[in-house]
Amino acid sequence: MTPRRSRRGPVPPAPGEPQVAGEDLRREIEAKGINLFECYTCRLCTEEMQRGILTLTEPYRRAFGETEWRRDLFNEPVCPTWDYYRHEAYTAYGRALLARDLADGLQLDPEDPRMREVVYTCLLCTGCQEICFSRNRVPLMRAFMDLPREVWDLHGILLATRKWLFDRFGWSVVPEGLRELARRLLETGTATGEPRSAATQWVEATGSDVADVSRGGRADVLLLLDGRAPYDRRLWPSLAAAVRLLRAAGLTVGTLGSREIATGLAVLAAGNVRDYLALNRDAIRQVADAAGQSGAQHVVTVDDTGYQAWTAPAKHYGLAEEVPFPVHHIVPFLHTLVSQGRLALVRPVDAEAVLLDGCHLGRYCKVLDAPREILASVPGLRLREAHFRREYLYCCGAAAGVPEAYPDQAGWWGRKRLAQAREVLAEGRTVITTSLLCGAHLRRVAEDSGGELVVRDLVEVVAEALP
Amino acid sequence: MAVATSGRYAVLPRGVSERTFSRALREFASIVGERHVSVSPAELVPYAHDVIMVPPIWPSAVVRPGSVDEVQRVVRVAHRLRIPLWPTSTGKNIAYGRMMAVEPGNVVLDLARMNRILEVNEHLAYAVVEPGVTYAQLYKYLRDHNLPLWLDPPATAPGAGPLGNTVERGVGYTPYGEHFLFSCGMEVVLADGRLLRTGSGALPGSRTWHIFKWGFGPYLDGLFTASNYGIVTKLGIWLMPEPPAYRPILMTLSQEDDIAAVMDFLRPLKVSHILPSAVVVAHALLALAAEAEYPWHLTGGTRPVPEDWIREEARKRMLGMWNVAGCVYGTPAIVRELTDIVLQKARSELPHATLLDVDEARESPYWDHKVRNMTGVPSMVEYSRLSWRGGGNAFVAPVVPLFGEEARKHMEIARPIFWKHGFDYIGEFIAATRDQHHVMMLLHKQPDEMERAMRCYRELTDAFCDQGYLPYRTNVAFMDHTMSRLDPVFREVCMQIKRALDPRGILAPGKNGIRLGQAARPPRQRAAAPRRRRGGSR
Repeated sequence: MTPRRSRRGPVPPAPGEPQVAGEDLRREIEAKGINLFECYTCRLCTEEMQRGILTLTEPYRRAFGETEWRRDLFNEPVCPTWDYYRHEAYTAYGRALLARDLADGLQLDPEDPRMREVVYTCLLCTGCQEICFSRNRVPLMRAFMDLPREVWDLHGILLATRKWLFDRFGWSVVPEGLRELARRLLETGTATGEPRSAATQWVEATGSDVADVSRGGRADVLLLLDGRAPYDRRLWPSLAAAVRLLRAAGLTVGTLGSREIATGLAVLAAGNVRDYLALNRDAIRQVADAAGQSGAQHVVTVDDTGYQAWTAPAKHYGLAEEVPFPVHHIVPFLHTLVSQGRLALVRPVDAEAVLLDGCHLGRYCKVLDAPREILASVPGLRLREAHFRREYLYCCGAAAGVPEAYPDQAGWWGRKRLAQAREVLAEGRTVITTSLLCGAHLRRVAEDSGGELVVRDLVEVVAEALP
Repeated sequence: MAVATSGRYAVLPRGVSERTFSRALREFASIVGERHVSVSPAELVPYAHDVIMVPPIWPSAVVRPGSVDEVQRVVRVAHRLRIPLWPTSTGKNIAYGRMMAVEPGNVVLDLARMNRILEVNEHLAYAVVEPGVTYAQLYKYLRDHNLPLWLDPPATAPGAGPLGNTVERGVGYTPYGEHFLFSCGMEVVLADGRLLRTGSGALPGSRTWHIFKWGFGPYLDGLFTASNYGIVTKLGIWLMPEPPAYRPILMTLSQEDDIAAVMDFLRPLKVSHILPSAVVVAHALLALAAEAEYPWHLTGGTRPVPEDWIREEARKRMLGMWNVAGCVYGTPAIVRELTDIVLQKARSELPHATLLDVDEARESPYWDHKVRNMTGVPSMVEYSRLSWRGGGNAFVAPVVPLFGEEARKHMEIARPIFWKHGFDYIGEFIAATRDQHHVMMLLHKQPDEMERAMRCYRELTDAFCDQGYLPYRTNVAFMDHTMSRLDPVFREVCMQIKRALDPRGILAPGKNGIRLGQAARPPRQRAAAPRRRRGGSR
C-alpha cells in the first residue's frame, strides 16, 4: 500500500469517497473515552522541563521529597526513544499525532522501516503517561477535580495504534524480532521457543522444594512462573530464592510444571490483541483449575509483565473476564509476609545497593512502597535511590520486545539505566531490580559492559537475609 | 538506502519532479547521513501539525543537519535543484504554526540537532547559541555553572529556543523582554550557501561580534527576523545580570472598566523605565483558561462565559477581572524606592486595585508563573489553556499605543467579534515601553470549531488592520493575508530583497507573505476541517 498523494500530502479522502481508512482506529480510541485532540504538543512527555508545574502531584512529591521536587528545572529525558533519537516523531506526542492522522485517513506503507521504528521502538513504558501535561493538567486545579484525569490516555492510544496496524497488515507490519518473540509465545507458550516441558528443569537444577501441581501436587501457594523465567537459566536463582522465602514463611509451594502458562505481553506489543486475550483466557482457566485441584490458597506470579497483563484495565486490553482468584505479585506478597512477621530477615547483608523500579510493576501497577519497605527490613543493606525513581523511573529498554526487535537501542537504554544506578553508589556494585525482565536485560548489558555492576533480583537479596 | 526512492512520495515540492526530488534526497543524505533524511509519513507527522485551526500541512521530507557546514551544503543542493526549504529551530512556535510550513511540499530543515551553547561570557553577560538550544537548556547551563545571569523566557515554552524566538521577534517579561533588541550578532546561511556574519562579525577575527550590534556599514540583522531571507545558524543574546534585589508588583482590579485607568497608570512608569519589566495586564478569563474547566453546561460552546461565573472562579484563585504583573529591579534601596513610587501612584489612580502579597500569591499557579517569567525562569503554566475548549489556539496579536482609551477601544473591537463567532474574549495587554501588545487567544475545540475559529481570526485581523493596528506576528495560515494589508511599496521592497538574496525563492516560501513571482497572494481558504472528524469525549 502506498501513501495517497495530493498537494497537501497524505490526507483524508474527499467527500463521496469510501469510509476513511482510519475510522475504525478512531472508534477504537474513542471507545476508550479518549479524545485524540487532547494532546497539546507541549512535549512534557518528551523531557521534563519544569519540575513543579505538572508535578505538584502527590506521587511526585513522594518520589522527590520536600526539597528536591521544588527545584525548578530538570530538563531530563522522560521518553527513552526521544532520548535516543532526538527526533520529534519518536515521542509520545509524535505517536499520538500519528494516531490522529491515521484516524483521519493517513495511509502508511507497512514495509516502511522508519514507520516501524517510530511505532515499535516505543517501550510502552508509560513514562509519558505518568507525566503527561494534559492528563495531569489537573494539579493546577487539584482543588476542583479528581486526579489524574483519565480521559487522555497516551498508553491507550499507543496500544490501539498497534492493534489497528496489526488488524490491517497482520504480522508483516511487526518488526522481525518482536514478531518472532510473539509467535513463539503463541505457538510454544515460551519466550525462548523451548517446549513447556522444559519448565521444570530449574527445580532440579536449584534443588527447590516445589510441588508439581500439574501432576496432582498440593500447595499453599501456586507460583506462576510465566513464559520466560523457567526457561532462562539466568533467572533460576530468582525463582529458587522466591521458593526459599515462601518456604521460610511456612508456605508450601507448587507450580504448573510442564503446563506452565504464558501471559504474553509481547503479543500485545505486537498488536495482536485477539490472540493475546485468547492466550490469557486460557491461562486463567488453567490456573483456576490448578488452584482448585491443588488446594492453593494464594496465586502468586513472579513475572511483572504477567501481573500487568492480569491487572490492566479494559482500555489497555486487560482481560475481558474477571480473574476468578486473587493474583498477587511476589514482591507485595512477600511484603505482606514480612509485615505480618511471618518472614524473619535476620542475617545481615552487608552491601550498598541501588533499587531500580521497573515500568510494569512500579510505574504501571504502582507497587512502589513494598520493595522499599522489604529492603529496609534487610539488616545491613544500605539502599540508595536512583534519581529516576518510583513513577519517574527511566525504562531500561527491556520491555515490549524491543531487545529482540531493536537490540542496539535496548542496549543503549540499558547502559544508560546502569549509569544512573552507578552515579548514586559510593562503594557498592549491586543493582536491585523488581522485574525479572529488567533483571535479565540489565544483567546482559552489565556483563557486556565489563561486569562492573552486579544485577540482582530483589528476592535474591532478601533471601540472603534468611536465618 | 533508508530514503524512499521508489518513485512514490506522499507529497512533492511544488514544481519539482519526482526524479529531481529523488536526486535531492540522495544528495541530502550524502551530506547529513541517511538517518537524518526522511520521507516517511510517520516521521513527518510532527512537522505537519500545530494547535492552530488548520488541518495538517505536510512537508515532502525532513532533513536534519548537524552543523553549519552541513546546512550550507544542503542549501547549495536545494538552490541548485530549486527545492523549497522550511527551516525550523526547536519547533515550538506554538499557536503560530510550530514547524508547519505555509505551503505543503517544503523540505523541513530541522536545525534541532545543532544545539550547542557556544559561549557564555559571564563578565559581558551574553551567550552565543545555535538554533537547537532551548530556554530550558540554557537555564540549566546557567544554573549548573552558577552564573549570576538571567535569561528572558517567553511565556509558554521552556522547550522553545532563544534563537528561534528572537528571529520570530518574540518577547519576554524581564527588562530584556524585547528579544531582538537584546540580540547581537548573527551568523546566517544565505540561499546560495554563503555564510554571512552580521554587525561586528563581518570583520574576520572580530572580538566584538556579540557585544557591539552595529558594526560598520548598514545594520543587516533586522532583515533576517520575521522574514525568509536567510537561515540564522548562530545568535548572540544578551543576558541580564542577576540583580541584587527585585520586587514583583502583583495587583488585581475588580472592574472590567478599569482597563483604561490601569494602562494610563502604567504609561509614565513604562516610558520612564520605573517599571522596566514588561507589565502584563491579563483578563480574568486568561488566567482561568489555564486553571479551570470550560463551563460547557453554561454556554453550550456558543455563548460567552457568564460574568458571574468568571467572578466566582476568579475569586477562588486570587484573581481580579484584570490582573497586573510587573517587577522592579536593582539594589535593595532602589527597589524600595521604585516600589514606593509605583504603589503610591496606584493608590491614587486605581481605586479598585488590590495589591497582592507576593509569597501568598505564588501559591497560585498563575501568579507563580508570572513571577517566574519576570525573574528569568521558564514556566509551562500557559500550556494549560489549550485544554480550555479542546486543544486549539491561535494568537491574535495587534500592537496598540500605550493609552488607556486605546485599550478600551480594542476591547470594544475584539469582544463582539469573539462573541459573534461563539468564542470568549481571552486577552491580555502587555505594556512594553511605548506600546502595548494586545495578545488574544482564540481558544477553540479541535476539530469541531476550526472553521468557525478561522472566520473569527480573519475578522479580527481585518478589524484591527482597518483601524490601523498591525499584528506583530501571525500564524502560517494568515501570513499572506496580513502581508496583503500592507502598503504596496513595502511589499515590493520585501520582494526586491527576496529576489536579491534568494533569487530562486527556496527559503521558506510564503513566510510572512513573502514569496517570489508575485506580491503577497490573497489568502487561500484553509479552514475546511477534515471530513468525518468528530470531537472526543468531553
